[in-house]
Amino acid sequence: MAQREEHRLGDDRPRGPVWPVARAPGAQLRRSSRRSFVPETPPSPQFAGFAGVEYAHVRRVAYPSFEWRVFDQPSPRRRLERPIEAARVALVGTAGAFLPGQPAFSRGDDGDPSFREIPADAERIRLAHVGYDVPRARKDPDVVFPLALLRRLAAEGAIGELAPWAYSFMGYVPEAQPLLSDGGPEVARRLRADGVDLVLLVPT
Amino acid sequence: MCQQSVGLLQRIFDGYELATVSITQVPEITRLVKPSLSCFVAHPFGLTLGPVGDKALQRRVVDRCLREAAGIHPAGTIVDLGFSWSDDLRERQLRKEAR
Repeated sequence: MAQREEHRLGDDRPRGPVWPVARAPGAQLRRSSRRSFVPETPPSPQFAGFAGVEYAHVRRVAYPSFEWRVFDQPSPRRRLERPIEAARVALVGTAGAFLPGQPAFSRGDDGDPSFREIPADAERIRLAHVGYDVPRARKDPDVVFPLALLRRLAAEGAIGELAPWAYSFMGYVPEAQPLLSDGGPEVARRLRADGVDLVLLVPT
Repeated sequence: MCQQSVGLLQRIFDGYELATVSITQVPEITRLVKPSLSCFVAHPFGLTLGPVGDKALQRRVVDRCLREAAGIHPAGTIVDLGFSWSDDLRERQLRKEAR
């Protein structure tokens, strides 16, 4: 299947370290991964549960001005207009999936709001992301980017068909505006052009 | 942060009148973004659909999401699909002790 022009932002950025240490005086070091240590960061009382933990962590170690995007009202829901067994389903994931020949996502502190277009029949999925254990997921990319699984569902008739393109982001995007004003709307237009009935979004 | 990115993308797609359904592993973040319909799966980060190689469980998660997408829910609904995890990896991730 032919590959469309890629939509990329900032792919020429230098690659940064994964969760670099920015230790405050007296902060305790806690093992957080095989690759790095991060200081123990108290959760922000401003947000509940892991939202507070992640907020404080990102601001401390990677992006000091990070803020959650908070909305008062839910976005409107559009009902599926045909049975799932007849629907064209598209996958949109934030696992940092890309193909050989496409640039990997940036792993710098500033994140990467770009996206990659993945043909539905792609077999060799690669992964690049700062926020999860990528080597583990590489053993079975379906755990974070279930393109092969959706192909099986289409072949078995559980869904009508798989859309011709899946769209891949890398979910660490501390400054969300480029996602909101550029990459997100562009992918929405492509999904509509692809005649998609249902979009399945998968985080990591 | 993936949970926010997915929610923001979903809001955009909703605005373009696409039918959508997402997975979330962190409902407290999804509640901030309020996309139209999300399915909560209590799986670790990086193992959204289940353990590596567990094709049956991965399929059950996707099947359930698709079934919810075909159902009737008010905008902003987060459906708990009832999937849990057998060890403490997710809990350690939520404390930033593992990835």
